[in-house]
Amino acid sequence: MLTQLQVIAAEGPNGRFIPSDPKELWWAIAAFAVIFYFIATKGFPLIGKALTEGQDAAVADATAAEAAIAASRAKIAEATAQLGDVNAESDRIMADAQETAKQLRVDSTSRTQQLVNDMWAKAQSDVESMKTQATADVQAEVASQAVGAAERVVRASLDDAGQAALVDNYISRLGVS
Amino acid sequence: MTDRINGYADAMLAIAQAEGDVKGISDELFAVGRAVDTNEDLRSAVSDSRLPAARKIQIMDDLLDGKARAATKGLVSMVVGAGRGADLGKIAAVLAERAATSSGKQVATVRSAVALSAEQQGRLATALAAKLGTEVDIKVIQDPSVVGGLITTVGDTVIDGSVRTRLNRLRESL
Repeated sequence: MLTQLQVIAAEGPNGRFIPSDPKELWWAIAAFAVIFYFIATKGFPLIGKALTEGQDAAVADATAAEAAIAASRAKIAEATAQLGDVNAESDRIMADAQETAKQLRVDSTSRTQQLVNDMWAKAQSDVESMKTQATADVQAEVASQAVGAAERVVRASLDDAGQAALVDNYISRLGVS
Repeated sequence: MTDRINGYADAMLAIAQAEGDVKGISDELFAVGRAVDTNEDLRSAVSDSRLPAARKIQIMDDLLDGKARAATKGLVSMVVGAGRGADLGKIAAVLAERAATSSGKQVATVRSAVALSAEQQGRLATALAAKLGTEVDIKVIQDPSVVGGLITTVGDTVIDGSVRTRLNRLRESL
């Protein structure tokens, strides 16, 4: 670069960087001042405005991004909380199901035991009733047979004299009592 | 029903009193009533609505021919001819009570396995009168189920000295 400048300077009439004519310097300064003026009055505001707008946009974007991040974090937290709730609910349901199953087993066992007890008691009662009834039937049958036999004997032995004796005895007892 | 039976009994008592033989007629009617009550064929015959009244009366006349007073036969024919043959036993029982009452007595219904002689009935009436303090008119019902001994019913009083009752007690004790 420096070498290129030295070459360019060597091209000058005086072989130096500084123009040989001072007017050129003044014209260069004036041109620079005009250009600078235009740049300062027109360019800088535009650049500043563009920079400001870019900065605002960046700030807005950053704010939106932060809000989105916050929303996402909130959703994540909510989802995590919901997941925790789901897990807790799942555990609770499983616990309830196990408890219900356990209770059902207990109830079923209890009912079965009660049923067996009832059937056993009823069977014992039936057997007892049957024994009582059978005993009563046998007693009644024995009594009937015995009385029937006694009646046959009495009828066979009761002739006219016996009948008359019974009537006389009846009449006598009426008089006594 | 009861009014009708009482009405027939009252009428028959009046006729028996008019005939001057209340006890004889009452005793015969009582026996006929018992026969109707205890004999299924006879009861069916006198209560059969399809059988003409004349036929029923003829049956009873044949049954009583030579065994009962004419007044008794006439009263039986009256009841059977009126279609009340099935009630003859009840009518005769009420008649017996009224006949006894009219003579200051009570009816003593005596169930016996065998017929009682007049002498036995007399002694029984005397013993019952002494026991109950009132004269009784004995009505004997021959009932083989009594087996032996007697069962006497006077009003609500029952004096049971039958072999049947002793056998029943033996059955219960066994």
